[in-house]
Amino acid sequence: MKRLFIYLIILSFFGFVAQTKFDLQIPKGWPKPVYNFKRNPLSEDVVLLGRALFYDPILSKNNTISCASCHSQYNAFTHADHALSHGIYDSIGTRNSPTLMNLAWHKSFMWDGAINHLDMQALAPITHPKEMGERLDSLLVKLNRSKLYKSLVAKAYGDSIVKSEFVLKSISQFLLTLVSANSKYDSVMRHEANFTPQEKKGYVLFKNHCNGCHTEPLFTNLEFENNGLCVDDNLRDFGRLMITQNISDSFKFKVPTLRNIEFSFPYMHDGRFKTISAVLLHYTSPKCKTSSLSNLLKDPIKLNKEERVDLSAFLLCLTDKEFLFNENYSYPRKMFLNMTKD
Amino acid sequence: MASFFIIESKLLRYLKPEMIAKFFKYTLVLVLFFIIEKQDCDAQTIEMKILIGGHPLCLDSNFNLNQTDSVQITSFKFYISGIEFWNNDSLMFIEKDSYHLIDMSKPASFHIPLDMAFKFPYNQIKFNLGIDSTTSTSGAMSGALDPLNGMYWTWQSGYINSKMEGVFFSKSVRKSFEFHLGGYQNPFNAIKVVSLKVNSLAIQPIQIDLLYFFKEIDLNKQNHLMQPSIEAVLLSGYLSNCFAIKY
Ligand code: HEC
Ligand code: HEC
Repeated sequence: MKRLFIYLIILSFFGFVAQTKFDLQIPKGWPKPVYNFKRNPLSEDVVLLGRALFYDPILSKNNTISCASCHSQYNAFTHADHALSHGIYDSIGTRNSPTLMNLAWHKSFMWDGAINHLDMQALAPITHPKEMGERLDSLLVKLNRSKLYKSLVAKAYGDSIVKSEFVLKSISQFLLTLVSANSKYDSVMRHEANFTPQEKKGYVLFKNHCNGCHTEPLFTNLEFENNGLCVDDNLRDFGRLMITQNISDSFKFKVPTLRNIEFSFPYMHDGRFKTISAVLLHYTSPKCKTSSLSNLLKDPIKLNKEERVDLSAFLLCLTDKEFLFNENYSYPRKMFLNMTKD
Repeated sequence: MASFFIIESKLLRYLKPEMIAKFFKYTLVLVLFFIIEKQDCDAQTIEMKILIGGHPLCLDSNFNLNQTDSVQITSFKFYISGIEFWNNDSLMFIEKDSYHLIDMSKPASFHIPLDMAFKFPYNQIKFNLGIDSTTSTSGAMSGALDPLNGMYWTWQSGYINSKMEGVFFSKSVRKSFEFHLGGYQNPFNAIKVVSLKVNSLAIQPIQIDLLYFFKEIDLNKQNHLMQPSIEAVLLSGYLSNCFAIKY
């Protein structure tokens, strides 16, 4: 009896001290993640801290804009109904907010790859005058005054001070948990479901025409490509060129994933297309021929009307309801309610 | 010294408890004294002296470059990383986690204490002016590398290796200048290796005379540089040439 008691004490001690590890499931058949988890090992309390930060407008200068304002879960973490991002003081940005999922496999971030590491991503929107308009030092002052964040940081890192490294790494951790790998397509690949004949035809068309860039299983090759969009005269966005200053990179953008494409409209870096059929029309029409246009798209892709419908049917198989409605990814209502935010 | 302790411990059993306590306090002080003294003799500190035209640089004060032009530097910060000590061709010492932010407005940052376990001969010190590409792509960090220090570009990842801001007067026309030099990817890798001959008997302060930098550039033509570029690589080179150790 006494011994059991001691064991219990020891066990509870361990439970208190050791971080509960968060197990990120790597879907079967996927490549190895690029993110270096050794430098930032996932733990449940850190993910929770990151999730609170992601949903908290405290990150913006006037406490109005959170990451979720531009990255909403039900739209696969992009901005519904906004072609260009919509930030603080009703500012309109210059690009469409991309979806956020499977980021552990990405080697660079932003449409032009301006950001080299997921940890550093959050700095960009926080300090952007048209997004959250905040300064990192002022943000840390705010967070260090908040009981909620003091207690979340104490739990996550055992530290009494909220540091920028904690903020950045915990947001990373939350983002890393956003894995979408449970669409109908995935079930079919796991032999748990079957495509309809139409979806099957669409899959074949996809493999022939799209897989070169929107490569399975992530549905992006994570490279920068020019898919022949004509440059918008107002935005004059040269894409990857702005980062490398290499002419051969002009009009190249990071290939977006097509997972959950049903819900991530509007499409492209400037949100110019509202529907999947408008996108398919682009791919089947003559392109703006700039020197960096991909060889795969030099000629319009030939798809008749019926084939376009088949291809669309396949693209809808990439919708992952479990991802879009996963409660672990949603607004942490309980946490914000239980703790008095001040 | 050792025999002294043995005699003392033999005496112990004849002593009263409060005397024993006193004895322990005494030895503790002695031991601490030795530890501190030991550190003193092995620790090496690199000193930085920031100058302009041979005079100590003062922020916000005027310096005449020539008959018509003068500059006022309002802020100056730079990273030193990867400090190494060499003796001819042998690497004698590498500093661990070697990242230092030298900030003109924080005189404490001019002293870089090095943690050396033992003494060794050396005749050369090497370090980077800036942050290497591996570190630049490794995610969030604290200390000198905390983005809070304002030495990180937020819109495009990468550390700002050096930052110099101020105003200049050319024929009494006032203009501002801002040089944020950085970039870790070729062909815009702006990190520079600084290698200085030293005399291990008496390590002298490292002098950074900014006049050499201003002699190379024409502030009328070039006064704002805030992203990785060929010019940033060039100017980083000019800045690295300002480092010297004088005997
Ligand atoms: C005002 C809208 C807005 C806010 C607020 C915002 N973002 Fe974004 N986000 C964007 C836009 C627009 C882009 C693409 C920018 C570009 O390519 O230049 C983007 C890109 C990203 C990316 C890169 C995705 C990829 O695949 O490359 C990540 C990750 C991201 N945001 C996370 C966040 C986080 C975390 C926050 C909160 C700290 C946040 N965003 C706040 C609009 C926003
Ligand atoms: C040469 C590479 C390439 C090929 C081939 C290609 N795409 Fe794309 N796709 C891209 C790039 C790059 C973008 C982003 C372009 C931009 O925003 O400027 C994109 C964007 C998209 C988008 C918008 C996604 C979003 O979230 O905004 C959809 C949908 C899409 N492609 C579908 C397809 C389909 C369907 C095919 C096959 C018929 C296809 N793509 C073939 C490179 C390619």
